[in-house]
Amino acid sequence: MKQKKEGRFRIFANNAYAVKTVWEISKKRVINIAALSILGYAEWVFTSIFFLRYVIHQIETEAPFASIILGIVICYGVLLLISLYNNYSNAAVIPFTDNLIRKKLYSKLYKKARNVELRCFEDADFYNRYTLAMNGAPERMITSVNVFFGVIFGVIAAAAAFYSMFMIDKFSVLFVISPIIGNFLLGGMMNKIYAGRYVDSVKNNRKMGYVNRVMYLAEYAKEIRLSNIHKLLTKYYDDSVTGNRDVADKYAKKGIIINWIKNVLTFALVFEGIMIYAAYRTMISQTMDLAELAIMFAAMSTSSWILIGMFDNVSEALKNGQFLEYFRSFIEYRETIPEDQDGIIPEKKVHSIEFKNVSFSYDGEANVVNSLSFNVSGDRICAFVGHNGAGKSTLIKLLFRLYDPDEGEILVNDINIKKYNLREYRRLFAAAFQDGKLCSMSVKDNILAGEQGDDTAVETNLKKSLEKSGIAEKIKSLKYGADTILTKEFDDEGAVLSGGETQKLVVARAFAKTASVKVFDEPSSALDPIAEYDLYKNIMSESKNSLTFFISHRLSSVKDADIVYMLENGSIIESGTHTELMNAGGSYAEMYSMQAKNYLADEEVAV
Amino acid sequence: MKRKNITKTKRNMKTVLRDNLKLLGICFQAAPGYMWMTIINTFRNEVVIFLEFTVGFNYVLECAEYGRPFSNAVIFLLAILAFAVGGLLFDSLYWQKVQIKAEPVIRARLKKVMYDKAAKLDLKCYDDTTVYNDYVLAVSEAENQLDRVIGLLKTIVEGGTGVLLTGAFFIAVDPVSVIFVAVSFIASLAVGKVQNRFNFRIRNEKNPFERKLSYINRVMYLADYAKEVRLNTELSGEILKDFDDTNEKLLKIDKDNAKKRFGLSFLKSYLCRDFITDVLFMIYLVFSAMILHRISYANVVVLYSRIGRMRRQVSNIADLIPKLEEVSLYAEKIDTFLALEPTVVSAGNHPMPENPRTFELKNVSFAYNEADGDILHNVNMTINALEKTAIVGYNGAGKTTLIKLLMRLYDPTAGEIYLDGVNIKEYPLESYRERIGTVFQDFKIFAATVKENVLLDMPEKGNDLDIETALEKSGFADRLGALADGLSTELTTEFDDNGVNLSGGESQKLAVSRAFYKDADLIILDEPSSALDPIAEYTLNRSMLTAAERKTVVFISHRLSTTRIADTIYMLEKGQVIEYGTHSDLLSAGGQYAEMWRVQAGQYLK
Repeated sequence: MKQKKEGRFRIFANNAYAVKTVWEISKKRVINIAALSILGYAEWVFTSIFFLRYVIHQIETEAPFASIILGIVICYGVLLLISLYNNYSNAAVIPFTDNLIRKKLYSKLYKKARNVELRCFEDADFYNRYTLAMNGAPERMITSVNVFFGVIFGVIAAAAAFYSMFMIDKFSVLFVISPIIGNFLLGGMMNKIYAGRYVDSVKNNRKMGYVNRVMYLAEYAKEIRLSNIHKLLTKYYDDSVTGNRDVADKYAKKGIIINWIKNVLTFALVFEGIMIYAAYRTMISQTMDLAELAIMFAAMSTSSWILIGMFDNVSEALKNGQFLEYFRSFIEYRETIPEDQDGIIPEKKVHSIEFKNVSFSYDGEANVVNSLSFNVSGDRICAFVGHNGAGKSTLIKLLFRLYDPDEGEILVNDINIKKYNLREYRRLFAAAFQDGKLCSMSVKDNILAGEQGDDTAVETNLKKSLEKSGIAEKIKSLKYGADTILTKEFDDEGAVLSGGETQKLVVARAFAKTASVKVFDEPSSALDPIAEYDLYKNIMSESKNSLTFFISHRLSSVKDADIVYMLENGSIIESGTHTELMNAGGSYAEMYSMQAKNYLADEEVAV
Repeated sequence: MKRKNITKTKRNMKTVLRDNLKLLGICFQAAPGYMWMTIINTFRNEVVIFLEFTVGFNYVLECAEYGRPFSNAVIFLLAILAFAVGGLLFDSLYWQKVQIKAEPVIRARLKKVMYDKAAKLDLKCYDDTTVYNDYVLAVSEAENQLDRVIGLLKTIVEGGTGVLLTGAFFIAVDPVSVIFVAVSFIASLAVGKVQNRFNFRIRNEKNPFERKLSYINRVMYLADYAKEVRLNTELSGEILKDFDDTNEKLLKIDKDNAKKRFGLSFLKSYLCRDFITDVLFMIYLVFSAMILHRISYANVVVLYSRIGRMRRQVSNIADLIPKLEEVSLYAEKIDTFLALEPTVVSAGNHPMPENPRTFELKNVSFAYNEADGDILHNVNMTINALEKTAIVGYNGAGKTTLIKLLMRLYDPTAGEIYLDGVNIKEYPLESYRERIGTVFQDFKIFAATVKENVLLDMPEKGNDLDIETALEKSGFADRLGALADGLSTELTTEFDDNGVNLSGGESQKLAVSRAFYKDADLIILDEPSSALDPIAEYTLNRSMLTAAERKTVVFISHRLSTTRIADTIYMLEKGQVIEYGTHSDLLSAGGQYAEMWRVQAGQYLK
């Protein structure tokens, strides 16, 4: 019970939060919504009750026709002003502020998304909440503001309508109790049923969504054609349909009865009840005259519709509360590694990198990096090798502060990397990942990614980077060269590149970036042997003047590294030059021979 | 994924109606009871409102005005109450049971037809962006459009009933009143037409910018980009700047059109509507009651309070046309998609050979589309039964395309492929593909159990022992042993929070076991070991070859160490076979293959 109360309060607080958020972005819009809401209700109550009462009264007292018409014209003159304001806000205020709110709200979300640590994107639950928060955020925020004022002014408008009924007959107001009971008590029960139904069908809906995705995404198309997985997926879909029907059955009986009583209380009893009561007052006890009877009906119908609208508003607020919760918890999430973290501005040149007993696990259970230590200084080429899952890529991510170690520390230029200004710290590195992504902009923008400099220097840098990564020829062959837009997303003349070509461009980006440390994480997995060979040659020659880390499965490519680190189960088990490691005859030597054996007769294996 | 890039064109009303009726037809076929109930309930609701607010009001007011007995009024009202209460039970039954149960059935009806189509369609359709985009749009919009068309049906029934009943009442009480509604209706219809055209134009003007925004949105929220965004701070700054610029452009469109929008909406909402049905009508009512004494108080109150609803319903009907048009646009996409016919079909019914036989490619050429030119050009190749054939070459040489032709995911644009001397088109497509086991470079793990993932079919189609053997051969046995539910373990956390996410290497092993399990004659391996470390690769290669001893194997690999053991190696360049033979033949020939080998193996030499 207590929890429920807190839940209700939270929903209220969340809606207030939405009003505050919109207020901070656009005061104009909030005032506009409030004004529209006041004017809307005022017009409604006024025309349907008070104005009508005035007209009937005038007719009844047989006032001169001209004076009635004058009254009508004055009233409608005022209403004309309201209408002008309404149309003005539809044409100017709403579209302009919609644009502003969308811009500011999404900027806020994007900046937050950029600022939270990478781990958030890997946490399915967090990620889910994030995507839900993104979905239609501006519209929902604005809905919240609408609902907020709708409830406040709805209460006042309903009170005004009740007052007019009360003035005619004190007891008539009692009939309002019926819809209030109907909506609060039974409405609450119905909400529970809706919630239960929703929870019970979540899994089915997720399944259907998944089947839908698999059926239309191009990446699944081959498997679907070559196997019978389609049948299995159809069965999943059918099961979910049946599942949802069963859920419907489970709640049907209760839902039908409660909803029925609720509606009888909300609609039927009030309407017919007041009519009978008022007819009695007029015809039998004769305490109400004809005009009052007419006004009574009009007021009753207006107040009922206002109440119904308000209950709709409240349930809208309840629904929106959940979304706002996602939004709020995302925006208010406290980053463990805030991307805009300030700190020491690092020296442009990295002299040393040291890992001191670093341990890290993704799930708090098994350590992926385990008490790992190493220390490199000077411009050296360091290779990291090891089995799948040995912790190589994780180590790089720790170095970039995409994660922080659970234990131990990482020092760059003898300072714990947590002390640096994060953005400036990241600028020290240029990285190429095997799953690197390109954006839907020109080749040039993708490669330079904001690198500055005068025009000729930029052009030379671009040209050189493309050459070194072995993609220059391909880019030249494109219709607009380096200005060609990638993907056909916005440009029908855009270029669609293969996996290998994409990888080369990702490497080119790392070449182009002016950074003290270059990192290559399996940059050649999609390349053919010759391209791979050339790429490594270029990485090696390029890296003479900077500290370079690279990860590779292909041991032949690490032979020329200044130092090779062999990882196993998250720790460095061997380190040294290729020759040293081969002579030591440990795990590295075994791995190397295994690979080389495929190329050569055993006795030829080079040491 | 959702991208709405529908351009508005003027549509023929007949087509619009036909498209809408077609969708409604699907609803009626899938759940006739529900659909009829929808009509009845909407009609019933309108009747109740009419009885309560129009007839009831008027009757009671007249009873009072003309001094009829109170009991008349009470009986009349109680009768309405009884009808309303009974009707609400029907309404509850409709919303709380029938509707909820029918909705998934109706959706499934359309969706399953679409899925079946999608599974049969040529792979080519996925390469053609226009076709593919339309398909995605059709699939993602199908549910919404069904809901909308049912909503439109309700609007028609509701509006029709309301207008007829209230209209009849107006005519009975005071026929002149109807003129006000009619004039207002015709005037709003005319302005509405201009307004619609205006809105379409603005929407089209905004469309490219909206697309840009949705792209930016995707980049900012897809996890794939998260790493890049973090490491290239300038990149995300640029994207955010782009976001602001695009918003500014959209704002400018709104600003440029604000005056016209104001004018149109004032014209429509005030002059055509409020002015006629409020100001003029009220003056008319007062005039009729006071000067002409033609109508009673009761009539004034009821007519005045009912014209609002009448007006709303009339304008709902007037607004139907653009809504019908929009449904029709999507319905057409759905229709176009369903009308696509696969071209890769069985041309004959030749029985498949019992055992592995020889494949022959004769002058095979293939192009994805004419503009890009041939990907494969005049390829001749023999894949002998039970032999191991390797295809090597540079990126983009056409290796993957070649095996796609072998699997009949595409048919050659020129030339033929023969199996056992019979054109592969002559075999029934399904049984042909059944005899081929493939491991792709970009294989997918499905959100299903381990068993289902190996089978890629209904679980009852396979026995556990064979599946375990297949998994063992691919080196997955250890991992399987560690899974709490063994073969029944759910993979991925897609919809089972306890599901298991496999690592890249583990997934690959599972994918390989699919080919082992399938008792295929031909096994195709497309770079299956690229994500594996050297030792895992070595083990996998060894086990694959042992397992495939009595099968024909075609494999593609960048690692020549893997392909050297092949009986025949084909070297492709620019879509053509430039060299072929055994490893030693090719080495002594000293051509491109030898060069490639030298580069790769050379690194292992001192």
